[in-house]
Amino acid sequence: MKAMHPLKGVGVVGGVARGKAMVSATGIAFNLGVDETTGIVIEAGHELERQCIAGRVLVFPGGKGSSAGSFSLLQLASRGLAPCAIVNVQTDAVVAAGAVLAKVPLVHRLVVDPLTEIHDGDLIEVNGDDGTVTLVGAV
Amino acid sequence: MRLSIEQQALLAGKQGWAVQWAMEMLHAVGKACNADRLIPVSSSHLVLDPFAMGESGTNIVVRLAESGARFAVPSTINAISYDRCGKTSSEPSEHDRYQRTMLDACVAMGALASCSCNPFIQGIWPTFNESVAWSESATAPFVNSVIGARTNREGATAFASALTGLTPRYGMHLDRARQGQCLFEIDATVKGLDGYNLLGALVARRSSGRIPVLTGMARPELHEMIGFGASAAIVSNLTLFHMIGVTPEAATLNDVFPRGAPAAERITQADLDAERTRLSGRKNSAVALVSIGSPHASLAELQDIVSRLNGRLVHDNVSFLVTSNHSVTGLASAAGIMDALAASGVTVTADKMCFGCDLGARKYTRDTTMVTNSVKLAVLAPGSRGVNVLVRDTATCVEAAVSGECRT
Repeated sequence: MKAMHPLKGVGVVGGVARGKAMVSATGIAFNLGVDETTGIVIEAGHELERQCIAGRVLVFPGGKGSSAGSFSLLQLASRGLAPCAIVNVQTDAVVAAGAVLAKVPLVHRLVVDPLTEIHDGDLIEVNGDDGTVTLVGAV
Repeated sequence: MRLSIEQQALLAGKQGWAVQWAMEMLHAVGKACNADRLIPVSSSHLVLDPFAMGESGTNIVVRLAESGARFAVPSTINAISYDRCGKTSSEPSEHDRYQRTMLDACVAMGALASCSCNPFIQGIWPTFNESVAWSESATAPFVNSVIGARTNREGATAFASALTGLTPRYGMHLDRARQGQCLFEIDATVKGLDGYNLLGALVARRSSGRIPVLTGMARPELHEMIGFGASAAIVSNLTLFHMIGVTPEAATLNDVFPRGAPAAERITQADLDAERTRLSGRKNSAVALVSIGSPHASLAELQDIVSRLNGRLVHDNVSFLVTSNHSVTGLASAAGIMDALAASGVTVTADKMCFGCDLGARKYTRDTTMVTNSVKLAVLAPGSRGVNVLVRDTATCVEAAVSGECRT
């Protein structure tokens, strides 16, 4: 992401959060795909396997797997292990409901592809109220 | 996503915290899924999964009840973590305590403690074209496809719909989202619950997220349609299928493909045999576990097991477990079926989910072979119970229980 000006998208869950990006080109199943007690991705073969999502701006295409995933996101949040914000290409009901429960700002449908424009470790600010994503500092 | 003046007031908290909590979720999901507005639902089916919900999910459900909230529409409950037949062998686990607390809270809010992943065999059905909000992935394909009612795959959102009687209008609630997207010609004789389970898994995988239409089939029995949908839902996100001449929105190909049908993909007996091999572990003649009832077994299935056992005893080395619900076990008791199963040494549990919880007193390992007619169990049990699973027809399951062996 070269531009410093905010990228416009659609805000789904409000709030503002800033953190380091963690980017996955694969969907994430919060139920059974992430350990609720550690925040570590446990899905076998997933590109984020063994990485901890706590406090990161999690950038991924959208949710997958069980619809129980919304409550898994709440469990992560109650232990301080949820991502600080979520950026999806196209989000879905399970991630959206989970982000409401976990009070995690969520933006999707950016004007650019977040999977290529945002890189692991970029410092990102997500504003769920006006639906924007801003690069604060590149890696 | 437009909210009426009244709905905006609910979102602002006019009717209290619980309804506001629900409206925030419905509003976000509506925006996420491009819904234009909220529409009424006439019922809700709630999954109280103590593993996914944990302490924090339990606390929210309790807080909803303590705030004085009441469900706005009839709401039923999915299978739970413990047996309500009263024969609990061990101390309740932490998850059982969460389960009991959530169940009590939901009953206080007006839910019916039906406690089954198979409400259809309890007489709990929506009607044709009715919009509902049902969670438990296995229920959505049956609600949409076999009944022709309408639900998306709900999760936490089912609570929001129960509290408000509303759901965002997207997905399965839209006519245009219910047309067929790929076509399968069934060139095989599909038989029994295991046969329809294997077909469901195969069709779901080959559909890759599209809505499948099946042609060339004989009419399945009720429990076979339930098994087909549950099996498809455990290997994919499938929420709707059509069977030409069988399901209500698909009298003809033209009904589901108004702009013309695509070329059909054939499914042969060899494909079904390959699917059985794919979903089964290694062949191992010594059987320690036979499990039937995922989704919960119907009265007809219990009757079938009794007739196949014909008074014979389950082998000493085998646990034969059947999971069902109180609607079925109550009728089965009155009909003498429960006594016959007990006399043969079959364990029947009521209301309990079939995996992820206690399968009995014995310890199981990778060397433990389980035989089942359920693809859902074949997918889940190796991970949750660490056992080796074989998918077989009901007759083979019963013979394996009696002989302690499975040679086919």
